[in-house]
Amino acid sequence: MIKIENISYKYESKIKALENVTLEIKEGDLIAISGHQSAGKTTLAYHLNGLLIPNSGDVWIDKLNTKDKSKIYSIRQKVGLVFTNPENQLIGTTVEEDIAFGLENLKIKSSDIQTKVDKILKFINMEDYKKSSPHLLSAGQKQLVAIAGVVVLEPKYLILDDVTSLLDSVNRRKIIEYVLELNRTLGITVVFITHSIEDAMKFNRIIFLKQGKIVLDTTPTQIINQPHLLQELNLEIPVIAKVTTLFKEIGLQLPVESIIERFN
Amino acid sequence: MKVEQYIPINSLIHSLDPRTKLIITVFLISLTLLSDNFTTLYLIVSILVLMIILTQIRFSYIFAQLLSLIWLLIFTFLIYLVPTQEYSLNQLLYLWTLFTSKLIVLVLFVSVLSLTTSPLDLSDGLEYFLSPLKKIRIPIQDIILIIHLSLRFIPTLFQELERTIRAQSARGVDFKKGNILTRLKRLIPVMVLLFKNSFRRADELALALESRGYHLNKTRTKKLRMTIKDYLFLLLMGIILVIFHKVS
Repeated sequence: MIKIENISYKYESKIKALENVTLEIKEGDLIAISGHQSAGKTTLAYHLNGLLIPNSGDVWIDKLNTKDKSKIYSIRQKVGLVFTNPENQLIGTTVEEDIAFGLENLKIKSSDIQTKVDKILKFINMEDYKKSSPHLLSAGQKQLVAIAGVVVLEPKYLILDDVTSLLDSVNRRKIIEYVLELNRTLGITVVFITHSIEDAMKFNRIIFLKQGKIVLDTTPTQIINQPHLLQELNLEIPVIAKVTTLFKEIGLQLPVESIIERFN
Repeated sequence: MKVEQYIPINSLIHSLDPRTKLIITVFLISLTLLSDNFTTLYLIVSILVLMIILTQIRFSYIFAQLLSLIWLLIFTFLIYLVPTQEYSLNQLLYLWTLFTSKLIVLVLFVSVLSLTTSPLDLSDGLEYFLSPLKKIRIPIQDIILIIHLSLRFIPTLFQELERTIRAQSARGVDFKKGNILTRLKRLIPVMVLLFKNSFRRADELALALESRGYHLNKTRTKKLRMTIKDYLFLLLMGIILVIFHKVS
């Protein structure tokens, strides 16, 4: 379990990025963290992997405190983090080499590394691109390789920081489907950070951040039933909630649960 | 813009261990630099031709690498033409031809190495030879990672440069008009942007490295392994050294 206990964080520029954030993420959860730009989403993501240490409060990853420097590699082994721009995190000169990078750092036997790399390439359906140079891939493929490079480390928790923001709708859907598949088949706990409410609606739990504070911790069903909650916070209402409200106004009650199921 | 050198095909030279290729290249470069007559240079050129044949890469492709040398060759030609009291014009032309031939051979040897060895293999080979420096606490693995990342990000930087130039051109900047000074001035904002983005990229890359557990003493996916082919090639180099010594 990830436990975030009343954390606050200020950047050197004195900008308050997080303020008294408390959150619990259970194993197997499928969570989206949403909000406008500068809401503190990325700052929160960096805290989950120990890249940032809170000024006050604590972040516990399975009882390991991110403030304990001696535990930092164990924490990073448990919590995988994928960044927004794949271009800046692809390290290898070939796809295969990039995916192997993290495994090499974890001192895994070289024969096992090859097996794991081949397995993950099969999973993302990119075996043919094994020897390709990452900079020659499409944006969606680059992001898939970046995610694969983290998933191959078999993290318990996977944090994806706005990984769909640079992609078109087809690739966005592909990435989200892949992430949901990871949760379903491998049981990886997913924290999906996104500014898109439409993308966030595909997750079981949605947490909204505003000016560094958690303003709403909800579910897609609740958003569809009570869209005013978002309106009051000046947040965008998803299309599905707008349509359901319109139907309600003309006296038609839609089966929300089955809509969400179909929607996903 | 083509910035990548390595061509992944299955040739004899490709299959050699990167350490063998590095030894051969350094050895042949040294021989080229030491050779002071055309007899020894013919011997080196024959080895070079044989190596190019064994790479299975088209001669025209490899020789295209020499295009960038044209200006340097013209410049040195003009320098060599300046009469001196020590040498006659014929002697100067001989020296220039020898210098030019050596330079071309050197570039082609380096091209053969970079066209047949992936950047990762190359950095693995370098790391092997530099590893004794670890004993005096020189962070070789970090240095190799820097070299490796530089090679990895060359294409990305070129793509970004092209994008920036196109964006500036779309806003009316003409990079082809005017004298050299004016054109260079127009390139300044492009370079500033490129540098700024490179620093941001380096920052994010450092975070990515950290989050993927980068630290020293990592394992290797591919272990370097010398085969019989490598030993045969090294033996061949020894024979060439003997022949070179006798000829010179």
